[in-house]
Amino acid sequence: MRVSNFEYLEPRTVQQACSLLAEHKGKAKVIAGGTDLLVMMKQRVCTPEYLVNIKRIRKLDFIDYGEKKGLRIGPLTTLSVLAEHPLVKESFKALSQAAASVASPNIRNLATIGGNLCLDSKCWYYNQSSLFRKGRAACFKRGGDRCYVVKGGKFCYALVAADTVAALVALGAEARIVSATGERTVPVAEFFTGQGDTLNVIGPEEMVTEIHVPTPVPRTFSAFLKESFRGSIEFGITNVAVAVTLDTGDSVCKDAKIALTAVTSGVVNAQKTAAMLKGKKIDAELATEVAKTAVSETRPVSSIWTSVYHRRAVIAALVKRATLQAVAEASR
Amino acid sequence: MKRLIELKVNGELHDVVVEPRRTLLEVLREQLGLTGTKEGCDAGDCGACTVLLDGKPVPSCLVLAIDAQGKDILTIEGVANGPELHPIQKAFVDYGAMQCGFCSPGMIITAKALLERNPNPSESEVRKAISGNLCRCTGYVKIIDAIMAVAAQGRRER
Repeated sequence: MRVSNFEYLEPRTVQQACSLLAEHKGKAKVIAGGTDLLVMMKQRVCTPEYLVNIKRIRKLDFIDYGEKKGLRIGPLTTLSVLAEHPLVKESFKALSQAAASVASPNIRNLATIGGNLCLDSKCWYYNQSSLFRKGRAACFKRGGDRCYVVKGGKFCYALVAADTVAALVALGAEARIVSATGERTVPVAEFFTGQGDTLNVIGPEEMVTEIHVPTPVPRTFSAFLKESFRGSIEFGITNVAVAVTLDTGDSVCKDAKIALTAVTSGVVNAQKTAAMLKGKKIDAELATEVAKTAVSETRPVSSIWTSVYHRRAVIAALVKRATLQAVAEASR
Repeated sequence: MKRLIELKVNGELHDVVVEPRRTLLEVLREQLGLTGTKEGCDAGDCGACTVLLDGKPVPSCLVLAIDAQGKDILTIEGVANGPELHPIQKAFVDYGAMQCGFCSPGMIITAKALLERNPNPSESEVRKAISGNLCRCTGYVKIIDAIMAVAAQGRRER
């Protein structure tokens, strides 16, 4: 499989990159690690005329922490560097665990956090070679009129599968998005449209320049769990991230966040479920109850790999386990 | 439009003319004749194409050749010291860690990077490190044995 043809543009600053994206609006794509984009180009799933290489832009690869400013991560930070960073492992555990679970160790040496945040939605029909896709009429994501995941579905059900997105939402992260005309900050919880084809709020002329995770409230603990058929390489069939803030004396939960990816066309920010943990001491019984609510709050879809019923069982198991794991961090 | 690029492979500099869309894997095999690195899935998932880029193992099928400029590239051809096998290669022979041999270049490269980063890995750390290198023949047991043996040998020597 050859990569589709393109012209390679190599800006040296964010400004240059944005003006190139604006100039070739709709025909250009940002390339960082390229571990997802190049595969899609080999499959002819997307064939941008221009690739804007952002790897030559200095100061997009950083991990910075300050008590007040929180954790600032450059979009070019590779997942292996992020996963191994002692501070991230210590105080933003779910993010370290999520970064460490993406794909394989060698892919993580190229793949970036910015790329994982902007990862295209995944679907067994869509992410195939052009020969495979020729056998059927085009789906919504290909500009057609149907969805093969949900028969009779009215829109695209391709899944937001990125591992780190669940952790970023559970930790309250936001992304800085820049274009030639300005910049804006979007909470990761609001980054996705909820539909597989429109995917996220980033426009074709915009790029992510920073991911910011606010300083956690003291005694905040987090955990990330991924269920997939094999221990490596694959996207999860369910990703869960949980962050809990516990009281100093009696370990009563003061605040909680629960987020899931790989189960819907957006990120599930399970606020109703998380609220059930507040004001209570978390034990296995409560975690089991809460996990049931997570299933009803999520509304997962079937896929070729897992039925809705199986997925619901996995969601319940992972939400319970991740909650208890996060709480267990407190006694470490 | 093609570009003239300079690649440093196994310590040697090569000038090659490439289209931007050519991957490092394609250039290594088809233009530099270094066919030790294998094309398996061409999608980053099997590890057969693993090379070291500035000491880090990466799937070369997902690296654009022009992005590999200015970096130190190590392929399987650069692992042995002339006619003398690298300890990892020797262990792969001694422990029966190769059958068809197709995964072996990628495995050995990943193992080399692991032992340089962590000379004393646990079995679980070895398994994690090679989790991006698939083998359809051996069932991984002898591969892990070989890598652990090299680590143990390193400990004895230290």
